[in-house]
Amino acid sequence: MTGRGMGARLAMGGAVAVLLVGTLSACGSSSSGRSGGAITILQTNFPDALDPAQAITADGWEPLTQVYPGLLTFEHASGAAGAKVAPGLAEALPQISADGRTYRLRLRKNLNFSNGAPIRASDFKHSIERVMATDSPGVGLGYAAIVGAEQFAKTKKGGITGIVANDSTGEVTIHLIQPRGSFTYLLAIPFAGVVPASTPEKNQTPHPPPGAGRYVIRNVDQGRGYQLVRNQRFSGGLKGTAVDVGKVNAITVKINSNISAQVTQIVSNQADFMVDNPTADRAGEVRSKYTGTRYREFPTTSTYYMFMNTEAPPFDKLAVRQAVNWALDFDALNRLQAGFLSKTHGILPSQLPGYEPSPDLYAGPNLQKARQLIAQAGAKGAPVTVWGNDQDPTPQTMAYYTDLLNKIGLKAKLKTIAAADYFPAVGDRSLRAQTGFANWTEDYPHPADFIDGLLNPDNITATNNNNLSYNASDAGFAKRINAVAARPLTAQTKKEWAALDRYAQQQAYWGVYATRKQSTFFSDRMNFKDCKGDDWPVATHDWGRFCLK
Amino acid sequence: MAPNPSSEFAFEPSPSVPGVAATEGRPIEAVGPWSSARARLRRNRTAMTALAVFATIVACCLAAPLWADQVAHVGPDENNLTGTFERGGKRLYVVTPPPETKPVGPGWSGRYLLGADKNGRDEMVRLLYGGRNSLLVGFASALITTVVAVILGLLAGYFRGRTDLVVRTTFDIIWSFPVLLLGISLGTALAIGGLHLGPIDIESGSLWIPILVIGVIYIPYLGRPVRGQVLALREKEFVEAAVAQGAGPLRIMFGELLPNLASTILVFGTLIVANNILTEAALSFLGAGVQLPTPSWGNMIGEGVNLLSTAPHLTIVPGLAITLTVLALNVFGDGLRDALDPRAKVRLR
Repeated sequence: MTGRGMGARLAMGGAVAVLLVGTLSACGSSSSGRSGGAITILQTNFPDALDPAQAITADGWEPLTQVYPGLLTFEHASGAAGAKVAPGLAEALPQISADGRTYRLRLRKNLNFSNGAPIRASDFKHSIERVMATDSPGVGLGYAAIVGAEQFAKTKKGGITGIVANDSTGEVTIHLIQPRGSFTYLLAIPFAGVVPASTPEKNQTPHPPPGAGRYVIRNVDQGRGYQLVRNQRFSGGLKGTAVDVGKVNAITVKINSNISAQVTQIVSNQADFMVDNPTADRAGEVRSKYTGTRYREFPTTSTYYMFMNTEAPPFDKLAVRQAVNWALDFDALNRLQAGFLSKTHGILPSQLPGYEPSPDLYAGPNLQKARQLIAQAGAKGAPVTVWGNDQDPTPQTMAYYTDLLNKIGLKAKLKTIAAADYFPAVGDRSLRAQTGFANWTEDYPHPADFIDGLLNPDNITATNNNNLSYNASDAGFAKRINAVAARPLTAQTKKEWAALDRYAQQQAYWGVYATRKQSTFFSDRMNFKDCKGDDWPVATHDWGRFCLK
Repeated sequence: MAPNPSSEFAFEPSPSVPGVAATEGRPIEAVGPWSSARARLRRNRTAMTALAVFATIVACCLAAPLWADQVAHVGPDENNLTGTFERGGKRLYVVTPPPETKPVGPGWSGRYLLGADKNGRDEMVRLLYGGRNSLLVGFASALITTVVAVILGLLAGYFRGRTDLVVRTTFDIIWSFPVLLLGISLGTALAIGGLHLGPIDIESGSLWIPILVIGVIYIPYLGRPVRGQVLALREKEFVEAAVAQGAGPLRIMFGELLPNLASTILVFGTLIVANNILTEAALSFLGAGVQLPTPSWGNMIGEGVNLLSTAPHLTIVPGLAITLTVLALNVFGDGLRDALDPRAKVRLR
C-alpha cells in the first residue's frame, strides 16, 4: 500500500513534467541524465558468482544484467514497464508454436562479444548447457522443461537435444517437454545470458567470460571488489535496443560488510550508492535528512512469510494455520525491521502480473481469535520448533514469532541456525521443519515464479525443496496450478493466478506479512532526480541507468 | 590427610597471624594452613570488597523472577513492540513507530528501568535472567574443566609412561587450536544439530552446549599445571611412605596428592570462572554460545550492537555487568591466591 501511494505521487509529478517538456516517455528516466564519469558502488557481500550460469542473488544479478544479455532481455525501466520482456540478442520475441512446445528465435546481425569474437547460435546452446552441467541454482527454475536438459544434467554428455542451433542462419529452436507459459521469461534472466561456446563448464567468477552487454567485468578481487567498465566493442547490431543502456563509463564496486560505515561513506560522498538498506540505527537519520533529495524507498517484488509445514502437526490443521495468520502483527514486524516492510497478505506481490487486490481474510492482529482457533483445533500446548537463521534481522523476527506462538497457546521454542544452512535444512523433507521464516524475491516477473515454484504440491522434492508447506495431499491445487502454468500470461490466466493466490490464502498455507522495501541512497554527486534506476523488477537496481549530475 | 609440610606449596606459619606467634609460658597454639589463609583473606579488603560485589551480582541475578513478577510484570522473552507504558506521567512507546523505530531508553520506572531492546523486551529483566545464564555457564563449565583437568592431570602425572603420553598429547592437540576459534567451531556445529553421543542427548539451543564447549576447551589450561605438580609431588617422601604402608594408586592420588593440589585448584577455579564468563560472552556475541531468545550477557551485547548509535544502553548495560563480574572474580582470585600461597605466582596464562 505504501508502494502504491508513492507511485501515485510520482505519477502526478511526472504528469507535470510531461506537460512541460512534452517529450518524456514512461521510461523517460532512462533517457535523461548525462553520460560519462565513474562512480563507486558499495555492496555488503561479494556476489555469489560473477558468472551468469551461477549467480542467483540480487548481489550477483545487479552487475550481471549489465554484462550478459540473453536472446531476450528486460526493458531497462522502473515498475511494471521493467517487467516487460524485450528482444535482446534475438531480433524479435520468440515465435511459439500452437501447442506451446516449440520456441523459434533468430540472432540479430553484427553481434560480437566484448572480446571481439562473433556471437553464434551455438553460443546460446552452450550457455544453457553450462547451467545444466554445473548444477547451477538455475536448474530448478524451469530449464529442465527443455527436451533432453534433464538427461544432460545427469550425464553431462551429448548436449541438450532440445536446443537446435544453426550457426549459419543464426536460428535457435527450443523444444519443450510440455508447454510452459513462463518460459519466455526464463530466456531473459541472467541464467540465459550468452557467453562464448569456449567458456569452461565451471564457475568463472575469478575471470568472468566475455558478454555482449554495455559493460565488461574487470579486476575481480574476490571478496573485496570488482569493476564494470564500458564495453569498447559493443555490437553495432545492438545499438538502440533494450540492451543498449549504460550511462557512466566505469563502476567500481567495493565490498564493505559494515553497513553503518557504508552509510557514512555515502553521506560524505566517498562512495556513490549502497546496494543494501541502511541499518536500523541509521535509517531514521537518513530518512529524515535525505528523503526526496538523495534517498527513497520502494517495495520490491517479494513476499515475506512464515511457512507452516502441513505434514508436521499441529500445522496439519487448518485452524492452527489460520490462528497464526490471525495473530501476526504487521506493525510489530515492521518496527523490528526498521520500517522496511510494506503490508501485504497475498502470495503474489502487488507489482507482479496476476496480483489482484483482495480482502484480507485474517485482518488481525486478533490474539483472542487465534487462541480460540488453537483451542478448537485441540492444539493447546502442542510443541512447536520455530526455525530461523542468524542473519539480522531474522533472529529478532523469529524471537517475536516464537513469543507470539506461545501467546496463542502453542509451546514454541526457537531453533536458530547459520544463514547458509537454513534453506537447505528447512527444505529437507525428512527434517519435518514445522514452521519458520521464509521469503521469496522474484526471479522473473511472472506469477508462476511464486505460486508454481513455492506452492505446487507436484514440485515438492526430498531435498532443496522450495515448497515449505509440503502440501502434497492437495492434488486438486496441483492440477489447477499445472493447468494455468502451461499457458501464456493473458488477461484470463492472470485471473486464474489471482484465484489460486486467494485459494492459498484460504488454506492459510503461509503466514504472509509483508513485501520488503528497498532503499536507493545516493551521494551528492549522483543525479537522483533523473537516474535513480531503481524499482527494476529484474534486479532491484539498474546500474546502467545511474548517472552523475 | 593434611597437606604435607615439605611440599613446595605448603603453608608456613607467619608470625603476623594472630594466635600463631609463640607466647612465653603458654603452649604454642597450632593454627592450620586453612585457618591462616582464611585470616589472611579476611584482612585483604580489596579481595573482600570484590567478593561482596560478586555476591551482590549473584544475588541480584537469582532474584530475577522476583523482579520480573513484582516490579516489571513481564517475562524475559515477552515481546512488546507496539505497546506503550507510563513513565513520569507521560505515555511512551516501548518501540517508536517508523520512521524512527527506536526502543525506549533507561528511565525511572519499574517497567523498562534500563529501557527496552529491539523486540520491546524489558532490558532489566533480560539483564538479570541473562546474568543467571552467563553465571551458570561460567560456573558449570568451570566445574567441568576443573574435574576433568584434575583427574587427567593426576592420572598423567602419577602413572607417567603411556598414560601421560596420551593425556599430554590430548592436551597439546586442544591447546594447539586458538581457543575462541575452537569454541566457535564446536558451538556452531552443535548449535545446528545438538549433541547426540551415546547416552548424551542434548538438543540444540540447550545451555548445556556452551557449558560443554567452554568446559572442554579450557581443560589443558588447568590440566597441564596439575600434571606438572603431580609429577613433582609423587617423588616426595609422604608418597613413598604411603606406598610403603600399602596404599594403592587411587588412595595416593585422591588421598595424598589431591589435598596438596587444593590451593592451586581453588585459585585456578576462580580465575577459570571469570575466564569462562568472558568466553561465554564472546561465543554468544558471535552466535555460537547461548542461543536466542534465551538471554545471556554476551548475546545481549550482540543484539544491541546494531543499535549502538541510537540505543547504546543495549550494549553498555550488559557490557558493564560482564566487566564488574569478571573484575570482581579476578580480584578475589588474586586475593585468594595471596592468602593460600603468598609465595606462589600462578596465573591463568
